[in-house]
Amino acid sequence: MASSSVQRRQRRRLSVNTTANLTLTAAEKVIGDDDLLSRILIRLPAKPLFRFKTVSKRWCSLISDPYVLQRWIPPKSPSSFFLRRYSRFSHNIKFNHVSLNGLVKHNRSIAPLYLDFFDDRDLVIISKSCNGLMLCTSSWPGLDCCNHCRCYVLNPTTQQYSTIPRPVDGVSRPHSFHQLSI
Amino acid sequence: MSSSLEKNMLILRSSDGEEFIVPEVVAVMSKAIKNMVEDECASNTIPVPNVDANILAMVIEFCKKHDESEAEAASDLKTFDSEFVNRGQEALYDLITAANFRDVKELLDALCQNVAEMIKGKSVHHIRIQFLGYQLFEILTSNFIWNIWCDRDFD
Repeated sequence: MASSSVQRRQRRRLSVNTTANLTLTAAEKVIGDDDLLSRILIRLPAKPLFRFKTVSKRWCSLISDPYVLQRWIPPKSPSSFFLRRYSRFSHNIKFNHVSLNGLVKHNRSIAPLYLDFFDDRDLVIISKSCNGLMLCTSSWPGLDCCNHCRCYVLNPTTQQYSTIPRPVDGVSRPHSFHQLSI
Repeated sequence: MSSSLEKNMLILRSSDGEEFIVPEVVAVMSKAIKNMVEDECASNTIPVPNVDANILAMVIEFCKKHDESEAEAASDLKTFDSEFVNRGQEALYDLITAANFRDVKELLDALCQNVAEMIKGKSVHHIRIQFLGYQLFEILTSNFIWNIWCDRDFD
């Protein structure tokens, strides 16, 4: 009984060894190297990067590794942009979100962006954007804009925003915000 | 170092014995060779194991271009890079291994960018088949054998 189990174990080891003898292709060698794989992964855009978490446990742990993510290189070409819609009949300001990735696949890639979560939603314009964050300013049609203008930093993906506090020195300078870069 | 200023030549020998004569300024774009030269442990001929003549020729071509055009416009270099990478499609992964092994950063970056662009539109299933074929096979077979093993013991 004991000898037969030893034999079986040996057989198992043998068969595992035969699979290990298979030669790796060059691609598998490159992907098998953690350093090289992470070099490739940091050059992927965000969406495929996170989709590839499901490839294997190793890929998942590499993609979750903060040291790898720190070196992430954002893609050079934009993946989507916002289109401002003008209307002759109302002062409302609306934006369309145009995605460049799924333009062919999904007809609904041109979806309106609702800035509903702002109090003065109809008058919010996007003044600057950087790394997927937007600097929004509420514009006032009248001349008294200086007193009412507010600035927000908005993440359109999560729809989270925070209001930039007004300067405390008593003089309101909304235009100083326009030189802010985020 | 004074020797690198004199533009003297080095001979690189690939794994299949072919020899390439390159200026030292080009050869030291590879950090591995640079270290060897600086430590003065290299004689005239530097063996480059694991890299065959084809791949070595491509790497040298890339290094030469980058060395010459350091002062040139960056856009020229970019078009050269993309052309170079496109030509090296079949040998892409061998090139990456060579660039990594010889530590040529510019080449490695250009090649990794190319791989990233290739795989970014692919499905997870495709990635698994292309890159993890071997590992999956191993996992499957070892599981299969393990299952037989368990079944037998329960009999």
